[in-house]
Amino acid sequence: MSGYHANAFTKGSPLGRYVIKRFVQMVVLFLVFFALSWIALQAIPGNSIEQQLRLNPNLPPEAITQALARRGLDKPPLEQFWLYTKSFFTGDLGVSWSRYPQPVSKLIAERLPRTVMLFSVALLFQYLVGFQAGKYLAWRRNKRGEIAITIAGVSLFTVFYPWFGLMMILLFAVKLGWVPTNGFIVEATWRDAPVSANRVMVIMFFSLLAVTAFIGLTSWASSRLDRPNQRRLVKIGAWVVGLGGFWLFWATNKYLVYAQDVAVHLVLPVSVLTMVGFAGVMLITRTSMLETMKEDFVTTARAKGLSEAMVRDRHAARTALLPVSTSLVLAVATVIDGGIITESIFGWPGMGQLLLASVISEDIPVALAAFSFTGILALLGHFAADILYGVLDPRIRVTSQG
Amino acid sequence: MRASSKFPWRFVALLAVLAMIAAACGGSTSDTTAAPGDDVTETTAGTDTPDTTMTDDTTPPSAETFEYKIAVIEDFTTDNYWTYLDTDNSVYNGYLLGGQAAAVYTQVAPSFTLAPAMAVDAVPPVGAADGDNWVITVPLREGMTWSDGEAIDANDVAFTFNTVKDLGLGGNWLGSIPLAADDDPATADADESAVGLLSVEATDDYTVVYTFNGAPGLPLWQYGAAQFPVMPEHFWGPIVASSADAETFEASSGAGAPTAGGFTFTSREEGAFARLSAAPYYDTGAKTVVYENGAVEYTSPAGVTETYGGTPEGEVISEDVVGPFASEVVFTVTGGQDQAVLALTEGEVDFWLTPLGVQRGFLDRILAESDLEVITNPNSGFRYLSFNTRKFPMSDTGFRQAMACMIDKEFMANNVLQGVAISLDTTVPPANAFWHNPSIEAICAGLSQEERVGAAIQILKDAGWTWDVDPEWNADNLDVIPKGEGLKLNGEAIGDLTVLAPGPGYDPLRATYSLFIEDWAQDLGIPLSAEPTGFNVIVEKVFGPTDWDMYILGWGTGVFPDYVVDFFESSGDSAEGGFNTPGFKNAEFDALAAEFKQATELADAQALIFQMEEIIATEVPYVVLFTTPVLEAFRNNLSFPFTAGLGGIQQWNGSQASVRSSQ
Repeated sequence: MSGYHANAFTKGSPLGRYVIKRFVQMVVLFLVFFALSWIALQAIPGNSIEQQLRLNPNLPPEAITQALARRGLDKPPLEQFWLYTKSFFTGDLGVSWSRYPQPVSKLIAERLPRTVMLFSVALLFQYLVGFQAGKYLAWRRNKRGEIAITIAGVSLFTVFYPWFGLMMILLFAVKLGWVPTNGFIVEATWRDAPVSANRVMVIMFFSLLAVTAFIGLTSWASSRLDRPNQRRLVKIGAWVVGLGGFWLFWATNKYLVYAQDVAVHLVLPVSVLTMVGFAGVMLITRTSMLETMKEDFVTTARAKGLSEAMVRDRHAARTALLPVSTSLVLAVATVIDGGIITESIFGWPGMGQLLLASVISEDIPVALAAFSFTGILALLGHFAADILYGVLDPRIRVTSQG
Repeated sequence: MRASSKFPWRFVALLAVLAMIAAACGGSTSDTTAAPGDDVTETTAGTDTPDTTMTDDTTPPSAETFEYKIAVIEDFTTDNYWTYLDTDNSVYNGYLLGGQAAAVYTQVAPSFTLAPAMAVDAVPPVGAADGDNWVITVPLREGMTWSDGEAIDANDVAFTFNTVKDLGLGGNWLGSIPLAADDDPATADADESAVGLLSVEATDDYTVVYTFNGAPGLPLWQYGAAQFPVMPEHFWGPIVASSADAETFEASSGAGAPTAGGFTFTSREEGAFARLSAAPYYDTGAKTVVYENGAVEYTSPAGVTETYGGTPEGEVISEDVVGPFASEVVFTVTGGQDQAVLALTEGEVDFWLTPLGVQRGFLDRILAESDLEVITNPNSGFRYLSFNTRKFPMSDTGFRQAMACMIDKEFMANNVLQGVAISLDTTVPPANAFWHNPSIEAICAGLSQEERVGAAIQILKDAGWTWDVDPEWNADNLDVIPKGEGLKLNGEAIGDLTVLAPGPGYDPLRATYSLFIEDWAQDLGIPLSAEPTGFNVIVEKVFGPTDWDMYILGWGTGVFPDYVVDFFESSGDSAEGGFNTPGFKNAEFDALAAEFKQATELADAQALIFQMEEIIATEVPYVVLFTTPVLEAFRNNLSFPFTAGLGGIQQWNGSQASVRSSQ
């Protein structure tokens, strides 16, 4: 098998050609996306930056001219586009028009860790809960539990999200006082902090990633063990070591109190995002599981006398994981642009709020950079999904070769 | 055994170690900024006579310290005062940094009375001609210090001017420092004849000399250069010297900058909070009493009393002992109005500082809390209907007057908009008492709808307009039946007209108003239709080409009314880059405007503004419609030196150095 995979990715192989072709398509698509985004932003009626300047009677005309020239707005649109494109593809994202002269890269660097932290944790919980629930639904077909979970999940999936978010704040923050009403940190904790909130979030993110990866990979690796007791032992060990290491790391970390503050602020938005988002994953998993359960290899597994749990988890669920994995890879792309509504409701100053503010103020360099990052990640997500499919599913590989 | 041998223990272990290293490499260096600094009270324009709630405790600050928290819905974008006044001129940055600078002259809250800060003389000296130039020498006080103990002196004034000039700073710096146009042939299109500031020099530590290229009037001198913010040279000088250009300079941090007020900027966490801490303040313990007539009685910490703005008369409207009393002021960035209200009602903040005012929809929730208080004050701005006087029929004064006559502002304010709007007749509102002309009354003010229709018809007839079908008031239906048809002036009929107004999503008040104006115009036979239009689109239309009929927008204005000149002077036609959107041309107004710009005495300038306002009220290039009140909410353990005044507390960035707590 390993030899086959190696050959599959060589340059002259069909899969290799397929990968190169997809990559070229991706680059072209990004260029089109980039240009269309710029045109769309330029097409917004009026010029917000110029108007803000022009509507200030205290500004003499020369100050307005100077301010426009500094931002390059005195040049024709096509020239602006050409100059921006050149600088973008040489790694210079330019300076913000509305927060001149702050570099766009600085603004994004400030906001990105917060958004990635919030939405990656929420995504993780959505997929964990959604996958387990989907598995349960497929296996407990036509039971009362299936109906209850489906109704609850779909209801939450279709609820008017801003209203639901505010109701959750009202209940858990205002009435019960369990969590903060908004924001991502409490000033009292951070006023003399020796570290920035972003730095703490980066540490939190990587420590979570490490634990998740450790437990996930160990669990995956344990599935190769033949004896159930060994598998169980390794899995439990992975959880104990992973969580223990995580606890040990933070218990001895001087930034623990700051991480706790961020974590407390994460509870409500992550919970709400998980509640409204898990049903999508649940339904994908359920459908996939139901399809898989019709397959011959599941019947064979049962005929071999394997336990129901073994058939469900080792045979059906693993295969059903494929579309879920693809969906996860694609969803990762949405992590960096955040959620404008979520960030607004919970007062979470991330990429979503930055994107909204930049579009409203027609701050094209910031808006375009934010859109481009999302676009690049989305394209990479699709690209990875295509490759993943090609590698994981022989049928797709054959089709792609054909 | 086979399976065990394949188990990737080493890979898992390596990954775990790498992840832990990555996490640990998060490092311990601080990204938060910390700095000493402090502030001075300085503001902008005008005179005002509001009533007020005063603090009953006028003792100097003692060891009783407290901290209070302010909610803001937008984040701060800079900690550099220079950048704030140039490219990042948001009100929120003003709340945080606005009190940092010193000034030679300033205005006293809440009356906007012009008073000396660094200067010795009670009023700015007028100066004298020196060849082609005009030179004003201002002696400065000794003993004023920045928060780090360095003297505030003439070198700081000259340094600030030279930095703005040499680095080419823009934005509101140029509004504060009216630079003279240079003689460079490359800038031949600039108006080099305009009066501007050539230089500011320190002849000694406590004498500063301003040189203009002509005699400056009030807008350029007393309400311009005399009040520009002064920055500490000993701190900013080295930064300026090492900055290659304005961009580099303005990208530098202002952390550590000493300030000339009660608070120093301490730290900021982007998107979350910013802090000001109490700092040594040269004016601590000073007492300022403001009287109803705008006169100010100032008693220095040393006990010397001076009076500015005339002889004190009438009631005391503000009595303020300078602190700071709070040890810390913490700004919490809530990100939205809902969150700000929640933070306020949940006790997370003590005051919501917002230029927009608290929305009325939130009032019930706020007032339900017994420890919260809401105050309301008039806004320093107005919404208006503008006519394009370059086009027929808006070019006809009778037409404009008839339209103005039909607009029942009291009815709109009281019956339709129900207290959300305050009817207004002049571009200088009554709350701006010194500059407001009380004798001006709107056309057809106080008339009933029936009387308005009759008066408007008469105005049009007097101006030579005729109808195919005359409009008539129908007393049974309380409406105009029939409506006018075939309205003509000297045989020329009116084509379809539109009034552009922001849609209800952007501003329901103006959107509603536009529909009523449409209806009233149609009563007279004017084929006018209201067109909800995006704000940006309206601005682009009316500040560019002149192909529009009428529009409704608003202005936020300062207190010194030089904007009246900007809005209606014929040389400022918006088609040529100015602010005169109606394209109003009136020789008498232009002459008064020119005289106003040269006036050096407040009384003269006031008389000129009164006359200009009368012309505007008669010629009606604008129909001033209404203003909105500013509502502000705070916890009632806080007390401010005043709670009534044009623009409210936010007009003065929250008067941080004077805020006290009863707890």
